[in-house]
Amino acid sequence: MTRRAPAPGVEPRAELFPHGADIGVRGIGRSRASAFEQAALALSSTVTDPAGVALRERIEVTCEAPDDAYLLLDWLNALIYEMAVRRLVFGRFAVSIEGHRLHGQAWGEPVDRSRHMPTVEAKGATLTALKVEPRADGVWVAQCIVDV
Amino acid sequence: MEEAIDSSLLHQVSNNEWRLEPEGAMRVPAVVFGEESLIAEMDDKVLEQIRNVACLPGIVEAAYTMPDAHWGYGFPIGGVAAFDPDEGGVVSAGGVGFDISCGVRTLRTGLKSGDLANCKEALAEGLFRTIPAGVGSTGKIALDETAMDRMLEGGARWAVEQGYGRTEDLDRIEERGAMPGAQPDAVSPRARKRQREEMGTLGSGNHYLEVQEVAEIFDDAVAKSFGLAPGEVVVSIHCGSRGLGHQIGSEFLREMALCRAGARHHAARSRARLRADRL
Repeated sequence: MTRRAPAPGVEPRAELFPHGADIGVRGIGRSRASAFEQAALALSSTVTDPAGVALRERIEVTCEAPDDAYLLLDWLNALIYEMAVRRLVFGRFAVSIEGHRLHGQAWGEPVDRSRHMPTVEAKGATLTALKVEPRADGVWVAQCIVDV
Repeated sequence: MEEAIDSSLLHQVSNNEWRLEPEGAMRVPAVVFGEESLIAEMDDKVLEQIRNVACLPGIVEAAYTMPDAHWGYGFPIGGVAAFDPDEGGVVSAGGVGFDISCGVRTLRTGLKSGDLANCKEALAEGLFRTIPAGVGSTGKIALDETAMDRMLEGGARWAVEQGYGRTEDLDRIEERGAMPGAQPDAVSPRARKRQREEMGTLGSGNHYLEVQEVAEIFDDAVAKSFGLAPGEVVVSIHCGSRGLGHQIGSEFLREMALCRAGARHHAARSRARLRADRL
């Protein structure tokens, strides 16, 4: 299958979309890896403004899954786990993907409740509305509902 | 914005009961409880999801939604169904949600709302200062592996033994707060780690502690049985297993979903290998 090149001028972006009980996170990018990075930024934005996070610490995450959708699920859940057990918030991500194996980096700092003013706590990424696919214009979309 | 439920699809059985007859792959009808105004406010995902529930193998009688039904995960939130294992009934790792023993408790205080008139702000600040809640909060309970096993196996009974409740509280909790046959060794190190960090904290999002006033009584007999009267102050707490439950639910749900998709071998071989090291 020949995959269409992404439309020029499409800027990667992170979006939130509504869900009756929780919240949807969506990453849009010119590649699958870029969409995963943006989905992670959207996840971070459910907790705090990523722009207000100092990039003082870096963690690495490696995941492998049978398909793109489960790879996104594992990537976001790995970040949620790190946020929970290390008490970190993240402001920047870098992802590389080969096949269905992902290597990711996340930069952030320990949460400071007075400065970051965290709004909700992400408990887990879910299979609901889980989707990773290129749109007709070649731009990649990666999304799912996150339980908060 | 979600679309509203199409009530023309429902057959009204009584003031508060509506029915969707089986169609397509549905094995049983869907029964929706709620007065007409509540049905009108439900989003259409409720019907979509309860239809899916009605298609599951081994379902008994009907798939039900409660009056608070709204878009959830597999089931709608507020969805109820029973499955007969002798009829191929399914087990779901996350039908309605991921929290284990998620629930709401309302505590009577014996106070009237007027008693708090001059101290609402101080009370709110005191509660906020005293109760660890939200991202970055820490509790005062530290469990080693042995204590974690006892907590996972004993549930609410364990909490009472530690002095966090009274024995009579167990009489008001389903299965007295602990399911028989618990297997703490089936809980992964990652789930245990999340619990260790969150033990004794309230959570955030839709987990809350609220000081409330009984504003109106709709059913005198029920209110009396709960000891509630207008103007009384109660404290309502919504909490659940939080990161522990989500980690357990997510891990098993992932494995079950992949197996169902015919990827049993792949799932076992490629279960996410997640590594994170502070550099």
